[in-house]
Order: sequence, then structure tokens, then C-alpha cells
Amino acid sequence: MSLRIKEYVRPKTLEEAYSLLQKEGAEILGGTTYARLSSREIQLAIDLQDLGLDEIKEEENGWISIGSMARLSDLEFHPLLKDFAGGFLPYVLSRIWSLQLRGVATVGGTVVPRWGFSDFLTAVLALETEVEFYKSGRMKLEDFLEKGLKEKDIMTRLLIKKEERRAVFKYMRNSEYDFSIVNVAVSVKVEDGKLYDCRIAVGARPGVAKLATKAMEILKESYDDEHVEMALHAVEDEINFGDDFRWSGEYRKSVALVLLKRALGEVIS
Amino acid sequence: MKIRVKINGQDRSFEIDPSEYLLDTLRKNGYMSVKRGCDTGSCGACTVLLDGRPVISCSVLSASVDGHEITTAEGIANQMKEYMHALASEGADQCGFCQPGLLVMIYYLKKMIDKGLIERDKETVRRYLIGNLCRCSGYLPQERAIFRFLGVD
Ligand SMILES: Cc1cc2nc3c(=O)[nH]c(=O)nc-3n(C[C@H](O)[C@H](O)[C@H](O)COP(=O)(O)OP(=O)(O)OC[C@H]3O[C@@H](n4cnc5c(N)ncnc54)[C@H](O)[C@@H]3O)c2cc1C
Ligand code: FES
Ligand code: FES
Repeated sequence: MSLRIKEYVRPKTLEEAYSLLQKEGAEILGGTTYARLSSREIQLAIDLQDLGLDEIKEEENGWISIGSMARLSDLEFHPLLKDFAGGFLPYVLSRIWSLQLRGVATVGGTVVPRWGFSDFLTAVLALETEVEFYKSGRMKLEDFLEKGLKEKDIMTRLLIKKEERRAVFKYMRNSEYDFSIVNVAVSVKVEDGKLYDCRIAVGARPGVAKLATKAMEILKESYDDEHVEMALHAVEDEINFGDDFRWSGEYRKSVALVLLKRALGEVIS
Repeated sequence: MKIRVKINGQDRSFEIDPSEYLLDTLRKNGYMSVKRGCDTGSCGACTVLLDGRPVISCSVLSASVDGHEITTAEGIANQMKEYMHALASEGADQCGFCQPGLLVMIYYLKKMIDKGLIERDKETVRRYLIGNLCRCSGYLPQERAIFRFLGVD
């Protein structure tokens, strides 16, 4: 099992990187933690490290901007994220295997492949998040996860709305050493002690993370017990849970509903 | 292709293949503390510091470290004598294969704890060591030595 690389380049501008990417057999390199597990040949490996895409900063218009070459461990220890939503993202990141892996894995390499098992995607989907590509521009994360891209492109940034949110992430694994078999994330906006705009994401279904939009609609009316029960029923109808070699879809669904009930209880209380 | 790196404070340059990983480049050039356990990113035996942060060298392309700084267990062993004494007095290691990667992690954790970026408590330290597998010790004697060295109660 090995990833072979014929030629390696470090372009100096995004424009150059994009035009190189259009060549046949050209691919962007993230940290290569996942890419290296495949057995294939990359004709032209494009390393974006000279493009300044590793910056994490707060934008003037209230978004946290995260460069696609930022390492997961850069996010984990960044002061902006430590204080945001009660340290929700550093908590989720600390569940992605080891610090040494997170020191190599990049945000781009975690978002672009739209992996079903991802913990990070479920978590950021439960926040108001957008993703930016060099040519395809900026789009909501939920749209990118659902539709993907029509053409080869370079992810430049992930943008998270910096607002007062309470957020909770829960997951189930066969062991801490395994991938999540199902994961859920719930967040709610808090303004003057009132709750608004609950976002519910379910991932590792085993398909890629998805928003439970019907349940989110129900909770716009009220956050009382009756509405929470109605929202959970809506999740059951709306979200598909499939089988894989780890668990059956039925079991996944049962566990997801329990995790969601707990997560909703925590953000609402 | 040629890369230039600083390893344990020394400037070095190597001729590498674009498909080569840092673990192989380091071992080929005499940094034998860097071990190959799993080669899939799971065991931590290949841990080194890249520009000061811990990474699994089996998953870092050698080409990508051109112009960067690397620290292996060889480079910090002298500063880790107290830790080594703690290991010895707890009878912590058996074959010792996991130790160079673990030593690099402990060196890093100590710095982060001292700066207040990682909490000095048992659960936190255990969580940050999840990626350093040991197939012999059963972890408990290593853990006693690590907690003692880091001043964790
Ligand atoms: C041992 C191990 C344990 C793991 N455990 C977990 C876990 O518990 N939970 C979890 O969620 N994940 C887990 N993962 C997955 C891990 O999160 C991924 O390996 C990592 O996120 C991939 O990041 P990377 O930068 O290394 O991507 P790469 O492997 O470099 O890239 C992946 C893909 O993304 C593309 N890409 C990268 N950057 C860009 C860009 N800017 N623009 C366009 N395309 C781009 C690449 O071309 C490639 O196709 C684990 C992985 C390993 C190896
Ligand atoms: S050899 Fe690198 S993590 Fe196991
Ligand atoms: S002492 Fe043998 S692998 Fe840890």
C-alpha cells in the first residue's frame, strides 16, 4: 500500500496553483495523512504551504476565518476558538485521534473529501459555517456537503460565524481508537437569555453529515419537552441511516436519537 | 529532488524521492530513534517535532519539510534526563521501542503545560498521549513516571 508521487511542486500564487491543478493527474496535498493510505500515483502533487493559507483570524464582519492549510492542532490551541461556544471546537478536535495526527492533518484535507465518518464536519455543520474555494467562491457548508463541486478547485478558507452559541457534540464508537459510528452536534444561539436558531447535524450515518432541517423548523416554535419529542420524530423521518461493516442503520438510528435527546437537553437547559 | 532542513539544530540536505516520507528520510540518515510501528498514523512511534509541534513522521512527505526544522529524540535526550530517571525508577519500559516517540511527546507536553496551554491533570495528559501505543508495558508504570515528571497529581 503506497501513494506514489511523480512530481512535487510548491506554487507561489493561488492562480499558479489553480492552473497546475487543471492538469491531468494533478492533486492538492493537504497533510497527506489520509491520502497516503491509498495505493495510487499522483502525477503532480501541489503543496499549498507557500500561499499563506494557514491563517486563523477574526474578520471585521463577525466571521472566524480559517485558512485551508491550518493544521487541526492550530485550531485546537487557537485563542479565538478556545473562547468560542464554550470551547466546543477544541473539544471535538481533541477527539480526532492523536495530537501528532492533528499536527499534520489540515482543515482543507478534512473538509474537501466530505468523509462520512468525520467528527469535524458534523461539528462545524452545527454552527453557521461557509466554505470558500478559489474559483467556485463562497458557499454554505451544507450546500457543499450535499452537492460537492462541479470542477477541480482549491479550498481557500472555512468561515464560521462568530456569534453567542451554546454547542454540544456527542459520538459513539466501538472504542476510543475507532472512528465514530454515529455522531451528532447541536447548537443554539443565545440572545438576552433567549434561545434561537437551533442547528442539528447528524454524521457518520454512515453518509456525510447532514442538517435535520425539519427538526430545526419545529424547534423554532418552542424548546419545550413536547417540541423536543416532535423534533426527534422528525429526525427519524428525515435522516437516512445506513448499514456498514460496523453497525446496522437501525442501530445507528436508535443511538443517534438518544445522543440527540441528550445534546438537546444540554443546550436547552 | 533535494531538500534542506535543520535537524536537532544542524543544517542538513538530502536527496529524496518525491514519494518519500520523513520517517524514511530520517532513518536512512542515521536518526534511528524514529521508529516505524504501524506506518498508518496510529502508533506514535515515529513522532518528531516539526517546527516545534509533534507530528507523525510516517505521514509527513519529506518534500514538504524543505526549509523547516525537525527535532528528534536524539536532539532532546540531554534535556530529558530527569524523565529517563523517572522511567527507570518505575521500571516503566520493556523493549523500549515506543519510548523515543513518547519522549518527544512528553517534552512537548511539558512545554505546553508550563505555558498554561494544556491543563496539568491526569485525564488531560492521558488524552494527549492516546496516540502513543506501547505493546509491552501495560502503560501503568509509564504513566506513573510521566505523572511524576510532569508534576501531575
Ligand atoms: C490513524 C487515523 C485516525 C483518524 N481518526 C479520526 C477520527 O477519530 N475522527 C475523524 O473525524 N477523522 C479521523 N481521521 C481522519 C483524519 O481526520 C484525516 O486523515 C485528515 O483530516 C485528513 O487531512 P489531511 O490534511 O491529511 O488530508 P489529505 O490526506 O492530505 O487530503 C485529503 C484530500 O483532500 C484534498 N485536499 C486537501 N486540501 C485541499 C484544498 N485546500 N483544496 C482542495 N482539495 C484539498 C486532497 O487532494 C485529498 O484528496 C483519522 C485518520 C487517521 C490516519
Ligand atoms: S509509524 Fe507513524 S504513527 Fe505508527
Ligand atoms: S516498552 Fe515495548 S513497546 Fe513500549
